[in-house]
Amino acid sequence: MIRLENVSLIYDLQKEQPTYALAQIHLEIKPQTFYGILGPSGSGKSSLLYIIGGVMNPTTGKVYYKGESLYEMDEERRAAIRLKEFGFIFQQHLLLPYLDVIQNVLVPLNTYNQESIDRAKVLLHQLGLEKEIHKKPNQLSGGQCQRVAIARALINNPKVILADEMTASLDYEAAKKVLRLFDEIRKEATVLFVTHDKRMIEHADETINLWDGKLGE
Amino acid sequence: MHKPLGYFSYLKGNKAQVFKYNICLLSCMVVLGIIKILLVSQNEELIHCNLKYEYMSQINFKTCNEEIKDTITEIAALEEVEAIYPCQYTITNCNTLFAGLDETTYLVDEHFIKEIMRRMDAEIVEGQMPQQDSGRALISSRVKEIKKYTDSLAIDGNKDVYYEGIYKSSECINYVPTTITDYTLSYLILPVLGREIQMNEKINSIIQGKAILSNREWAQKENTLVLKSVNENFNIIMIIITLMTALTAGVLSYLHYRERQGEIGLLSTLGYSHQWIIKRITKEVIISTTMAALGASGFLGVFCKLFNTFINEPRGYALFRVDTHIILLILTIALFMMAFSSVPIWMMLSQKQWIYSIERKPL
Repeated sequence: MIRLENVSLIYDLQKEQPTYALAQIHLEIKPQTFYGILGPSGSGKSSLLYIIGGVMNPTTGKVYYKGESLYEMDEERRAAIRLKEFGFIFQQHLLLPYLDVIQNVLVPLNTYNQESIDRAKVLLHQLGLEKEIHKKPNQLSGGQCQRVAIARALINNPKVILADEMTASLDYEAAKKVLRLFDEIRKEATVLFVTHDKRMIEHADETINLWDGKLGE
Repeated sequence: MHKPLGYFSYLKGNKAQVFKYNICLLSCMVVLGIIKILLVSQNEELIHCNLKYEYMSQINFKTCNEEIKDTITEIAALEEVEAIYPCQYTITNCNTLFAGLDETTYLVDEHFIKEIMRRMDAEIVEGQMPQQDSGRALISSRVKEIKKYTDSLAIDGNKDVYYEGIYKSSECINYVPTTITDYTLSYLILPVLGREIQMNEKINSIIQGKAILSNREWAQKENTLVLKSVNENFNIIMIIITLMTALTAGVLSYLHYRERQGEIGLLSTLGYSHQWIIKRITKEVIISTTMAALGASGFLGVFCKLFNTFINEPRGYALFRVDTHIILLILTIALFMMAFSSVPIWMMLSQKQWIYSIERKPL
């Protein structure tokens, strides 16, 4: 489904010793598979996630999505693919402060029809946020905000979900709800998540280990 | 509820910011609007203040000597001249921006006053005409401040006679009836209706530098020169202020959207294309600018109404108004501001790796 060929992300190219955030990554991502991306801080986990998500141009190499080179298509097409088929969950929740919970969930759809509202309510219920629908982000805890961000990522039924430390701010119960939800989703979507959370690793079908920008065993 | 990324969702959640931004734009437009209103009214003041020459010409001799008698007799004999009246002297106040229109006051014979009123088609109410040599003038209320004249009287039915609705005044020329026994330096000449151009040509050939003939053609030429200078200066000021306000709007917009970099980065990452984001921001700028333009137009309308009611009309005129010039100006400023506001944002959006803005500038 997603294929990375010789992908590198290099900073400070002009310097004598450029910095390799990622170095010659070859990777094949299978559909409907739960991948855990592991590695120490600064190993390039988030960068790998963003490159796969079509958000960050690799310095060298190619990324293929469904057989098409992601970074050789025009920006509009790539953005459209991200909007319809990818779901992003960031390390910080990144909710829009001026929208309430349900509007934040609907941001990827930018619509307000009954079907989408019902879907949003179902997701929020599954994440234990049914009573917070009309609250603003500043009225929620960090964990609640992160759960809203998870609902936002899932609202458009994405084929690929990219999550960066999504359970870091969640307590045990909340994390359980999230994992339960992802257990349903994994039947239809590919999930790549960066984590240090053992609970998440246990749920992963496969792990991708990064060390200093390179794939490890 | 509104669309999550619609303008009104943003407005609802950011009332203070949007209000401040719109007020800045509105203030810029109001400042320029007021300058333009003053300019337009000043143009009209300058044009209207010489409209007395619609009814008469004025001749001022340079020196008082025996020649005046002969010259006046020759002028009076012209078939284009209906009547000629000596005028003891005139007092003219300076016409400044807020001083009002023509403040010329003539000390003339009562017969002349009645004749000019007849030409103006003004009904003189019995009992209102001051007595000859009384020192009291047939004047409008706006010249109360002239200390010499203690009473202010109005000629009924003379409203709008000059300016057809734009200028409301009971009188724009003031007359004090007085007895004139000797020849004087000034004379007011009433032409036969429709023959004023010919009359003025003949008078000019008679006086030949011995006197100054003030008439409509002269007044128009003078006005053209003065207006050209006034307008050129004002237009330069307007252009400078317009550019400065447009730049200010541009900087304000840029700073406003820089604060929202995180939001832009998020939308870009989620999958909204640069084109879509530009369209959204441009829509916000257009809506804000349109709201500011409507607000500015409304404010200027109220400003003109209040200023006319409380300051201008008591002086006898009401030239402040919001007309097509002002509306066009506000539209032009609005367009300028939209352009200046949008361009830096479009440049900011050309930045490719928006993911960094999310990391560096949390929402």
